[in-house]
Amino acid sequence: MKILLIDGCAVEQPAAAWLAEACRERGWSPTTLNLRALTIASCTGCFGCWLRTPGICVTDDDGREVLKQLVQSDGVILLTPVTFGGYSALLKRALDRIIPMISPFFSTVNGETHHRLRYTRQPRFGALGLMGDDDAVEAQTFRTLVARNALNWHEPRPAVALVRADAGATATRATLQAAFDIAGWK
Amino acid sequence: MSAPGQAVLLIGSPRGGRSTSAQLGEVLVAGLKKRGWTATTHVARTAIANTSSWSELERAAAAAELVIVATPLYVDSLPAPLIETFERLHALRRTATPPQAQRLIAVVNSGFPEASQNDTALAICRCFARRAGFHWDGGLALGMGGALSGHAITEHGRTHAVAAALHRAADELAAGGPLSAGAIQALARPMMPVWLYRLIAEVSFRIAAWRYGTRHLGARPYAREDD
Repeated sequence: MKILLIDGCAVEQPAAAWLAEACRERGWSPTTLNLRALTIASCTGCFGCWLRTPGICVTDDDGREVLKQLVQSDGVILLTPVTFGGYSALLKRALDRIIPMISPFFSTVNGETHHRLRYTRQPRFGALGLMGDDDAVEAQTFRTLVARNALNWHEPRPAVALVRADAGATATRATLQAAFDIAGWK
Repeated sequence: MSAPGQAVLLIGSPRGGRSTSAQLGEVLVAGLKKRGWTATTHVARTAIANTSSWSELERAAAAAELVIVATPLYVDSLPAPLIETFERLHALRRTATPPQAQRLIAVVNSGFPEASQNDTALAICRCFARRAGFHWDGGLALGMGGALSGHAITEHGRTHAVAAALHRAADELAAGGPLSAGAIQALARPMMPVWLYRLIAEVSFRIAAWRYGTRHLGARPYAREDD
């Protein structure tokens, strides 16, 4: 599997390397996109990617490359510090720019309205969240957010792993492998 | 009724003052002003891009009794500029906590028909409030936000229920209380049947695309060869 790892940590974290190692242990081919090194403007909410240049953001910067690599991968795993139960601003800036991946038109998933997919092949979806402490409310909010993203991604079983930022290599890799097993990623 | 206070309206939409989020927030602020409150409005995207705008937000947020976050739902969460604003405010408040008690509420709207799709974004706002030392006074969720686009929120016509819910929420906030379940439920009530909203939204997308001269909305520019 060709796996895209999107590193949304504002400060370099050793977990990025451990995540790549965990993927290689499974025989997958990971590529890490370090968002700190990319230039990605905020989404302006113009809907140009749906209505003017379907599938392509009208802003021509590294955000387009993130989307292209994401669409062409077999799986995507986000890496982020858990920020108020969600993703970091750095990661979110890139994610706000991937809506060209979906269609403006609607479908129904689990009784709720969601957008149709633009592409027939959809990469698997997962996330590794780094917690600063053991806040149970933020941990649950993060899990819910990943599950909600997965619904819009039409991903039935996202891989979600949460570890303390200071957990160390062994614990982080073990948590990731358990998350991959639970999600049924082969 | 508590004494009139000072409020900050923080708009999370990158579209700023032209957005549905701004409209919703301004109705709340107008309700507070009727009761003698003062308020300033700040756009997250502008504040993080501009030193003087950031200083204004920083000062206003430190002095306010009530912060109102008005934002659209972006990818099940908040728009990135608003998260960055939260990150910066949190960092500041770790070292300088304002002396007075402060309250925070959020109103989140989305283009999906179901208001409940905003719940995760509201949970994130609540986590921010707790981390940054604000008392969480509740969250309002609105679905079918596309139905408000370009329409003023007034007490007449199809926006009357939205206006009534916001006026009720403003009354509660001005009185010093949290948002009631009644106000939250009133704003979350669908403005029309789901099927009708979806039909109008999809036809509107097609008309807008046609005006741009776009014909193939289903294009797959980055498709793999095996897709």
